[in-house]
Amino acid sequence: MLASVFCEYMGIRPGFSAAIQVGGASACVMVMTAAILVRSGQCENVLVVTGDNRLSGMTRDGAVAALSTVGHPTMERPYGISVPSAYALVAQRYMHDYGVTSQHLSGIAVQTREYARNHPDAHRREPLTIAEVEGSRVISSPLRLFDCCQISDGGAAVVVSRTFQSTRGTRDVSILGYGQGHTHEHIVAAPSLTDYGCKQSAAAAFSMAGVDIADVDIAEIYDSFTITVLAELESIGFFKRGECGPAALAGELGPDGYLPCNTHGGLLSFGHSGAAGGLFHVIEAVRQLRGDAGERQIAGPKVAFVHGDGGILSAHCSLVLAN
Amino acid sequence: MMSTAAVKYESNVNVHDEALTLGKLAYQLCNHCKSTQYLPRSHCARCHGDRLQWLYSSLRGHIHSFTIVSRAPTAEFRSKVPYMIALVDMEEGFRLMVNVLDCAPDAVEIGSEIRITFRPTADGKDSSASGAGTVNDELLTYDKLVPGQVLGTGCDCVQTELAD
Repeated sequence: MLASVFCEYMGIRPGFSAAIQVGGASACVMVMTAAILVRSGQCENVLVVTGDNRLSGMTRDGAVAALSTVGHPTMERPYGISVPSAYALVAQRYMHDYGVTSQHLSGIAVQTREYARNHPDAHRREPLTIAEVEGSRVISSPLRLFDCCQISDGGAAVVVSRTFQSTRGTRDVSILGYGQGHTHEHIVAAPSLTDYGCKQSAAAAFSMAGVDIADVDIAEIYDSFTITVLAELESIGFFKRGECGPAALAGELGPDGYLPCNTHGGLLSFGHSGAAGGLFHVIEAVRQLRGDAGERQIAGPKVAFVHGDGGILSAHCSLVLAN
Repeated sequence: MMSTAAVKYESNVNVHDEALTLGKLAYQLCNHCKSTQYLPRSHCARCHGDRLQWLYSSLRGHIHSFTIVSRAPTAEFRSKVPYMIALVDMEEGFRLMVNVLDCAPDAVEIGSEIRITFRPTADGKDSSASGAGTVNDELLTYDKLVPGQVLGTGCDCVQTELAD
């Protein structure tokens, strides 16, 4: 949607207005752009707003078909590619190279659902077990139904301001750093199926923020598929190669673990509604840093890492937030 | 210094598409940095040099990754499930996507050696709909060919009669 359509509907006349299209990285790129706008002095306050009625507006089949058009028109789509199939190609190679198992991926789906069960607004809140994930129907091998994110309706917005003005007694959350990394668009053109632009985007964000990866208390990672989370956490360096899966099964991504991750339930269980899906991760990081996360509140996080990726691990944007 | 007299430079997508109708796989070699690319471009994506040469592939490569699709994205593919998609690294150094056909799924693994073959699509216009602007009308009177694939080693299947 053109940004001006939203402005017209809302009845606002901003000094800067633009739609930003970076696939799943859109939300993080919007926040990064907003931060640059307020830091430059161009804007005082920037409204970052997203929303999509993917489920009720497109139907599940319609959404799957529409999303498959990200495949290259002559090099991929004639072969029946879909977004899950493209990520399945990544998963197959990643599992082969680093000994990742379907149980490891299931561990991520189950942990993410556990968080969603404590979120009143989550799309899916019913219990989920490893056996249920591993027994679910294959979508595109090796990915099964519960390795894939939801198709949801939803909207999300944040305000990025030059100076913090609390209107409801909320606490300040700062954007310490941001960075991007882009290597390709189509999976057939990806330079690697195991290393991605997230490495570059995260390094840039950490460098700007002046924090070390070991300083991160919580991570909110764009989880279009279970493999996306695992591969990005390892590619960025939160875990050594092949160690994220066992860590997930051991609860290390849980509330008391080494790196609480996707604490709202992620795209896998909280929901995925287009660009808003990515903004849910930002909002959860803000809530956690403010201590406003209710039943799923992690004890005293100070630094949050948020990451979005668009395409097939193609376009990456990382944010470092702190309270 | 490199001699350029015998090298023919072209940047036309039709070279690639026309090669398919002849049962050949054309790719581009950069005469600056010697890298190869399969997606036709006016320049080299690696060094941005513009001296590209069209060559025909040996059609030999190996499986970089693969997936068996059970949930098709569109009605067109729903009747074909389950079908296999693979990324293939050709011995000339470029990568492409293919369907692995007429082969037991268990016979395919990462690293399997393969040989590209071709099969006509049922409806050339349909499969090239999005790229129709790059294919001239004359070519569309032929069957549009899409790289299909039969395994070489690691699979004792044979290619079935070409469809259509």
